[in-house]
Amino acid sequence: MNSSPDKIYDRGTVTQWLNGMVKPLQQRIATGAPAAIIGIRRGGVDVAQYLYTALRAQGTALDENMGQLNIAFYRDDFSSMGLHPVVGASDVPFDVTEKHIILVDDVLGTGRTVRAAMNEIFDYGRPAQITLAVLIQRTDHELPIRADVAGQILCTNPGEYIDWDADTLQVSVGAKS
Amino acid sequence: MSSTDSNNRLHTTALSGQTLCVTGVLLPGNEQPQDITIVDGAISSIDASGTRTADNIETIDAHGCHAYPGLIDLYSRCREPGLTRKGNIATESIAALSAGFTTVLCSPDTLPAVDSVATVELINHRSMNVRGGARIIPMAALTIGLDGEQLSELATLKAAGCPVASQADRPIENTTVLYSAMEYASSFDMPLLLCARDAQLGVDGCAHTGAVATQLGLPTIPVAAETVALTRLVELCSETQVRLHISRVSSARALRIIKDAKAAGLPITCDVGIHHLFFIDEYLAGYDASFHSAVPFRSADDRQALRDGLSSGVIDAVCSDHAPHDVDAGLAPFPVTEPGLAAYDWFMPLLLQLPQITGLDLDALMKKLHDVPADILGQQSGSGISVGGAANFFVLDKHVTCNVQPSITLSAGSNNPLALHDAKALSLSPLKGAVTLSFCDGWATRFNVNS
Amino acid sequence: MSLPDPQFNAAGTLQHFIDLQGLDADTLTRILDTAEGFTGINDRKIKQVPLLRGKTVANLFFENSTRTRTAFELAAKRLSADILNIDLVTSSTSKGESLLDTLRVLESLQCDMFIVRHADSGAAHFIARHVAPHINIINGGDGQHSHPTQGMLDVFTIRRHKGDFSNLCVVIIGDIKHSRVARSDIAALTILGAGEVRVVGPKTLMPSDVESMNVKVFSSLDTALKGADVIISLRLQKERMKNATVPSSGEFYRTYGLSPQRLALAKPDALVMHPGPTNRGVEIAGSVADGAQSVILEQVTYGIAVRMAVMSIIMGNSDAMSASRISNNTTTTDAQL
Repeated sequence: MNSSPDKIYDRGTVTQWLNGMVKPLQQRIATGAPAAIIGIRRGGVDVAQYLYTALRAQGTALDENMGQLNIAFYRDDFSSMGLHPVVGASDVPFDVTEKHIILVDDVLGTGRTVRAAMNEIFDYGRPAQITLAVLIQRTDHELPIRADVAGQILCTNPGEYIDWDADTLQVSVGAKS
Repeated sequence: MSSTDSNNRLHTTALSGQTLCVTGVLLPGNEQPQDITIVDGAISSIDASGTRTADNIETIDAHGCHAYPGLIDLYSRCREPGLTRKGNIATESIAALSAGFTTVLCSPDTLPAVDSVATVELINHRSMNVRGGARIIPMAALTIGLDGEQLSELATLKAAGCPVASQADRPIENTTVLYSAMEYASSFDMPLLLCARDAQLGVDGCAHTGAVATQLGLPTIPVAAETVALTRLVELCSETQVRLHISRVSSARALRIIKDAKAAGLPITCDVGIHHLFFIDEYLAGYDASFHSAVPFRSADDRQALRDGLSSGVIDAVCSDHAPHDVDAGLAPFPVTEPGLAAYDWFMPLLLQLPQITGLDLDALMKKLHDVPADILGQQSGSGISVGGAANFFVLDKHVTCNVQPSITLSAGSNNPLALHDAKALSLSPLKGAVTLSFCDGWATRFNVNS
Repeated sequence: MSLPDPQFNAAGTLQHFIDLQGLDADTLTRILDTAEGFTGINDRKIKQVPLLRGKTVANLFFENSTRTRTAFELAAKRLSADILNIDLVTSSTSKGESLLDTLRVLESLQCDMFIVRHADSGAAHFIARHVAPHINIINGGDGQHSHPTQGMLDVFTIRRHKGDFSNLCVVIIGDIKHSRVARSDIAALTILGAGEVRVVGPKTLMPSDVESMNVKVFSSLDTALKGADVIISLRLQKERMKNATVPSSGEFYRTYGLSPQRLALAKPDALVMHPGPTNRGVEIAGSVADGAQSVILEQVTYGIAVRMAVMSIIMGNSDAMSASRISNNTTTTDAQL
């Protein structure tokens, strides 16, 4: 188990971060191909759901269906960790070809999840564009992958964890144990 | 003339021209330790220990040990000729000696089968050339090649040294042939030693018909495969009055048939393989091929009936059913492994556990391994430890811990369950007891039981 | 007293998939959940995931079965593994090469997984006990003993339609005695807590003491079908008519064939299943096999996802074990990848 958090961001702060993502996304969506949202399970789906609701409420043109990815079958640590438990399958209920995919995750860390998710998306078809939107972007990345839209950038080192609770909209940061 | 085997497990001395004395040994029915003096291979005197001392005689201290007449094995396999990758007369006769046997009836299922004088003479010759070692007596194949069709030259084979005839594990399908074989054998008062198994029912089986085989999906051998065949044998015995010994009974229902046949006065005897007094079909779980036996291990009820049958006397004798195999014989999916267990290297410790599970005392058990088989073979019983007779007995240390190591068995057979399990895992009491010394056919063999 | 279960490796995880007996409900549920994840792949442009990229799977079929072999082949390919089909029915083993020699040769070809089908019960156990430790074995059917991936795809199909197992009444009809499918179905259903499993057939097709497998035994099909939620009809091999087991296919159909009239005795939403290939007019009426309640073709489709799940779970387990053996200090693996 991780130690108790060193820092907690409360609902108000996190809501600001989420709301701050809406406008940049609207701008990107306005210029590109027809857009659709895909969340990465599990935390990314919650963020995607928030953004989807917010964007639709403001009349942004967005595919009415939302997709979700379970990247267990694309992870690069299969040969060291084995197969991760698969709870909830990938479900992309629209054709991604020639779409502008808004790929959403909660925390962008090493970049490996996003790499796996992009590989998976391309097995569904060839999107016109992918925009990566994350609630929090960490700074201790391992791959050259950065978010196009980030709610907040937090300076972290690999010894720290970031948890986010979709129900309380609370983010906590602490040392891994 | 003496020699020690390469692994220092035994030491063999020729008795010719020698005098030696086994001191302090306990004989059946006598609580006083005795000294047995052996001159030139014959017993010259048996005296209360310490009453007579002679100088310059080699003595072997056997205080605390027991002496019994050499046991007679009614069913074993030496694999020679033809199957010597699994064992041979030299290895198996020594292994038999270490199990207390000085006489071993060998199955005729060699290659070729024991259906000619040439094969009998080969076996006799090889047996005589073993220094020490139990005497190997071949059983005659009842039919040529054990094919169940044409009778072997039984009178000739008997004269050549086969006291009984057998079909090994191959039943005679044709009842006319079986009837005729019984009539013909009885003409020469040659006993038949037959295993009750049907020629069709369960012939593809490899496990007792029951819950274990059902869960493992193994083809089965129902009890009826034994009892149907047994009933046929009993009826034909009743008709022909042949001396019939039923080899390796496996089920409670078979014992009831034998009990009735005996009560009706038929000349029928029977034995049980020692492993069947201990093991049941549940030992096959996980496809343990060490318990793949031609006569299948049956239910716990059957095992109890066999134990009861031994103590009540319905079962006359215990045999080893020794079946040595090479390693390759067991390296296959269960149904295609070759059946049988190597018995000799743990026979004596198993035998010493029988009093506890049957209620018979050890002296009574030893009679079932000596007197009864001797009767069946038409030998004089009671011999082996008597003044004036040839020394044919063994000395048993009942308490020494038995360390059977499958890698250094005396038998060439590596297929002993101890190769995969220890005694506790097999629900056995700790294995104790070993033959330390054996006198047979002019040889004294001392076993180094602690090596 | 029995030998240890060869399915588990030194780390206590599932290394081989040989026999459902000995596995627990959590293990089976994990396989079903994983398979659920793989079903979606069929709807995509690229019906493949990169999970087993660079791995080699060998189909070792000592007994013919085009269907099962193809299903495993497709599953391996969808996982991006390379697959070797080795037809052993007509090759070396019939020339006297021992099973172990054959195994050693294939190990030397650097295969990672063997799918084994063999006519002898216990063959997969034997192979698992003797194979090199880095290799995974999946039992593709051994004698009359076990066909665990078929058992899993059957419960997968049932779960998709019925959800929970606890209130289900499942009836298995026909040749229970010689059927590895029946044994694996019974094991899977029992482990997953099915309400009631019934077996029905003539005594010649019923193994001894079958009650010991927690099933209820019926000889009348009409009685057995009352209240059934799931009906599994088994294939009746033609050779049963030769050795006095069943008099004729006609009589079998009249007494144990799943006809439309008989199907009406079960619950109206009862599923009709069959491991295939069906003998129409012997164990099942064509109209029932093709009817609205039949999920026979779904079983085939789901068989791919279920086999993908089994392959990736056990191969992942053995990879993870050897990885942890190589280095016990990689704590930097990605809690937040």
